[in-house]
Amino acid sequence: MLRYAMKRLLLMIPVIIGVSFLIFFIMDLAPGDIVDLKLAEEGLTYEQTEQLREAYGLTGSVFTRYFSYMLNFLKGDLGTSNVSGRPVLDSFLEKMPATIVLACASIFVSIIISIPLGIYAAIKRGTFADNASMVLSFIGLSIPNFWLGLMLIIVVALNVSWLPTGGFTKGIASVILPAITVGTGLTATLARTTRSSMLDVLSQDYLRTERAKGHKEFKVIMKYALRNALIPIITIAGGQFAVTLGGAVLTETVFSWPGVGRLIVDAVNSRDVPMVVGCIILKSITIGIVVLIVDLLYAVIDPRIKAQYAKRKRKTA
Amino acid sequence: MKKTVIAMLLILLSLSPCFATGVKEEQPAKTASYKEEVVIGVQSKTSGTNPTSQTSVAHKILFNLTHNSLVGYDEKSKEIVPELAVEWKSSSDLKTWTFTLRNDVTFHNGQKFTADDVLYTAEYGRTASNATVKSFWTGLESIKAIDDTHVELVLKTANLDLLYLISNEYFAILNREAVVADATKGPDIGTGPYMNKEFYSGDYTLLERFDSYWGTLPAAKYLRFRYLPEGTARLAALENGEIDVCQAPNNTELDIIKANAELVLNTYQTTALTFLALNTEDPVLSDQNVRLAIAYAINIQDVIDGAASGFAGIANGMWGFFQYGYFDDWKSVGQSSYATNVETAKQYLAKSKYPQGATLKFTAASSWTVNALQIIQDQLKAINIKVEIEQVDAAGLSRKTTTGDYQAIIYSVTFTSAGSDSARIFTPGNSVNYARYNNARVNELFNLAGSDTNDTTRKAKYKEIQTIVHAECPYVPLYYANSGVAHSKKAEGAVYNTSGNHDYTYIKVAK
Repeated sequence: MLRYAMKRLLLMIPVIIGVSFLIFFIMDLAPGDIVDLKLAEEGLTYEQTEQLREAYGLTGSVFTRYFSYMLNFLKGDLGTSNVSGRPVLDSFLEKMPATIVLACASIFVSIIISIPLGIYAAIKRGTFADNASMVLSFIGLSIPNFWLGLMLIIVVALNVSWLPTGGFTKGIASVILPAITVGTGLTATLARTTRSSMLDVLSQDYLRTERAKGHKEFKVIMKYALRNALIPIITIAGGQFAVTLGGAVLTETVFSWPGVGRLIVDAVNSRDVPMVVGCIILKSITIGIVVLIVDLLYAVIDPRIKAQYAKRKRKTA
Repeated sequence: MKKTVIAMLLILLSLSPCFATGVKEEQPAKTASYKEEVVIGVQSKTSGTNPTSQTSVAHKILFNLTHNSLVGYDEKSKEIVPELAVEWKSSSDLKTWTFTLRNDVTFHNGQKFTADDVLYTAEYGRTASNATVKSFWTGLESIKAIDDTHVELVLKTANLDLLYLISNEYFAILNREAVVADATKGPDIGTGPYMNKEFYSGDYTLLERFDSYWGTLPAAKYLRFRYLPEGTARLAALENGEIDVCQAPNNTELDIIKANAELVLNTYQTTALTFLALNTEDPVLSDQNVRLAIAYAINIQDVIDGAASGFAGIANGMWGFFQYGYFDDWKSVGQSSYATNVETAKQYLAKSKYPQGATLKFTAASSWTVNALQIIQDQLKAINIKVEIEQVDAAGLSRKTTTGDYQAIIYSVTFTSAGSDSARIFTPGNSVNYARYNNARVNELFNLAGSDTNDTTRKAKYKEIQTIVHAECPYVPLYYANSGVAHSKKAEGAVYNTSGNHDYTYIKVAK
């Protein structure tokens, strides 16, 4: 398993090279740069602009600049923001805790709603309850995040004053509304996956055997059926978690949540190339690690996958 | 397995307070009748605490609290007021300026303020990241300290508006020792009534009262500026008491504020002039008659109603109404304002090289300006001018204006009260001269006015500039948008300025 993990980590190198070049190239294609923005904001004369471009390292071809950037990256230097003058890594790490908390809380909300809903729908397949559960999950998917966020603020924070309207200064109370907002969107996909995965498992013979052994239906479903249905659920949940780690821009905006998503969007709007490229490289690494952890979790959940890893190990030995 | 997964998630969630980045809220002192911490909800993000690095209004509000310049500008009286300099005088040629400094000022780090700090600020400014700041300090002929309380600035060219320029917060005086000791945090050290305590970009800035401040001490011990970009959420935070002041509430939500007895709404016309810039280098728009036809075909009130929800005042010229030398009595010089008159517009178009009309591309960089352009697009159909609308982002717009690759753009500029500031849009080589306007007489008049110490003749020069520009119509002035500040009725002492550069020094909120 360690060998597999190492291999996957090594595969992240071409991913980082590809992603960073793509972002560098796209940012270069986008009209205007940070000097153009400063030109308008600071009332510069045109003569001052070339001097500034030189200072920001914006002269030369995109390939030269990319090569130079990657050389610094290999030395562990992700660059300095052209806007704030702070190291990109510092800015990213400053925002990451808020993003991790929101991602964890959102996926938690999503799981506690969607898995029971999906299981219930599968058990009651074809009934009104099944249809109602799926309609509910689709409603969750259809509601725009920003609208739901604003409604939650108006109802929960303003009308009944139970929770703060936003920010990340009041611990767990601050995270509840943003987590519900992001989690609601994730719930529909996860509930549907749970339902279909459970339906596949529920029709299998081994469950009939478990029932014949006299196990209670609840134990059959939760212990024997759900465990075998977990692989696709974890795949989807892991993917959703990884995406949320990349930032939930609209939710972050509505709730003034100081996360990575807004950091990147602000950097794109201000054409802060080092910040955009640096953050996306770090985001890619984070997502890669999360996906790897999810893959490794398969072995924990399913003994057959664990046995496969062990078999490969014996062969190579 | 399931239990393990759920347990892990619960642990992660319960750890969230450990990640929370805000400071633990301190309880206000029980003896005070005012809140110890005042919270202001702002719509614009700030990206640094170094006053020489940023020039936007959102930053200036903060720097006004943490730093002082040599002089200040009182927007109410429109006068230059003393700050770190108690008095000043200039030579007759307006090139040599001598400032007498206060001798009772200390920086936040306890260092005494002297003339040497002004010299160091100039030295630091020559390498500042902000081009406006760098340009000013590198443009000085010389600067010297006569003694600890006297500084002499010598300019390369005369500038009557020098005091207006250096009253800007980004010309704040820094402390030599602080910056030399720590180049990153050193510029945060100022002489203002508040000190930088915490700065968390994209979340909040926390300032703490400086008890050795040279002026009157503020009432609030802490000022917290919370970044709340979404207007509805910002107002909700005010309504439920999380914040005490809500800057720039949504125009569509002003009635909610008015209906709430616990809140006070201050609205004002901003000094941000929104205009349509017509590229005078464009083959079609180089024709003055086409430009005038466009100006007369636009119904500005309809644009205001549609794009600014009716909350704006019509602009009657391209010179700020609050600026030195403002003139709008067009009849007295044989002209008329660009009041909507489709017949006049048609007459101008008939006199142009395009009597049958033309197709033009107008560029905008935000959704509200696109709304304005859509209304203008509809209005110009009346004179057979077809408009295509192109939307780009701010950087894209700026690139276009640099290269001249556009026909017309809609934009806003906030001028200072100095008349010379208008040179930014009327003279070549300036970044916001979006009409790419170049009139030799106008350029000459700006140069002459810059060193004209006679009030009457100087105003006459500015009047002539406005008359020429109005006749040639490189820009169609549209409106000054309204803005506002809503606050708890318990809050008092803040000064809300039409430039948006509000002064929160003496704000206090009753418990």
